[in-house]
Amino acid sequence: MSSSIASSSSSSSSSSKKEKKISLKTSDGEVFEVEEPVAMQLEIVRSFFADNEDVTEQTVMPLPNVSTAAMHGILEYCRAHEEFRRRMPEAAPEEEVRAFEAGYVDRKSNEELKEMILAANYLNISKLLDFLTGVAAKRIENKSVEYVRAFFGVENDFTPEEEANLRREYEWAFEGVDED
Amino acid sequence: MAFDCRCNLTTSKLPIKSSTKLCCPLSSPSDNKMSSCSTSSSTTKTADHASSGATTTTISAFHPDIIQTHILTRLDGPTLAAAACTSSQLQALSSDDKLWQEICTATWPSINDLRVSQVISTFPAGHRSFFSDSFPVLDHRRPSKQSVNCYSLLSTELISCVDIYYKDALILSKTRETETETGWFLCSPFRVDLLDPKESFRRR
Repeated sequence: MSSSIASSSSSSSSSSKKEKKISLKTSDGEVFEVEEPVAMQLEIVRSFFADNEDVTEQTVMPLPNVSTAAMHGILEYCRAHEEFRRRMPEAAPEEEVRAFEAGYVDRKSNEELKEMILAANYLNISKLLDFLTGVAAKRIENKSVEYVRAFFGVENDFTPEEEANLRREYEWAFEGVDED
Repeated sequence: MAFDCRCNLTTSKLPIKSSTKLCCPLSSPSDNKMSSCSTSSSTTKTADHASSGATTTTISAFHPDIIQTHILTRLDGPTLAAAACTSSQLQALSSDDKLWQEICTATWPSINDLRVSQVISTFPAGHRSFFSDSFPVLDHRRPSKQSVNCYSLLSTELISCVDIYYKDALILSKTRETETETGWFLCSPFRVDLLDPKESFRRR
């Protein structure tokens, strides 16, 4: 039995059978031992191992742009999808995937979501990036300018007049926005 | 039965007001829900929420690339408008006509027509103008703020873009051009035939 989908335990090398593991080191120095098929979903890892002949199983690949917290989230998603693929190689069980994904993001705050988007972009996991950015778009739907600004983490560099003009131009869009 | 009829009647041959779009209430048979529409030109209501503060500092700021290619492309019209008001960089990114074109054609598939595209491209902000002028039409609950004085528009031609949805499924999408100068048009009640006499309404 493989470990359950939800668990994102990383460095439990004891339970591994003969499965090949790949070591990934996050920005804060934690090393994750990741099952090969899961790690290969990270395009940056796949190309690193494909392009470097001299890497061995002992090679620890550094991922300086990914925090430990983001890595836990990334691996949870990739492990779940590997599990779906293993059980149903032909076609993913759509409803189950949707249920997993809904529960998966429900637990994430906006900050966690953003951190994972940055990580998924850096690690080049297009499926996860598409999914997370879709979630991000949904989260800012029908929200105020202030909310969207805070979400994107951008600085308001308009003069008060410029902003007032813009808001007037887009006035049609701001009736009935949700509470932040 | 609730039909959702999204219609845009676009004036063309433009020397008139730059982005004039004329939408007229269409007569609706039985209980079909038709959108009655109005021009939404320049309303001068002041922005009611012009507060500047309340910014929570964020740890992770997105790279503009991610915002541009992955997030802006997934936003609906009002959210894209909100994004445009957040910062000058995002304003520039959000003004890309392709984004608005995508939103417009997803909302009104009938405008995916060469002639209509040509007319829209002459609007001051292209598809963005088209969307903001037509947006009030989408909200059935909102009463029209202004009624249209059809006589003040001196266009030589009308283009009607009509998309009819039934239970969120598109069942009819048509574009019709109508000249507005001959005596026949000027003396008759306003009427646009979307279907030819022998054409039937096919359900998908």
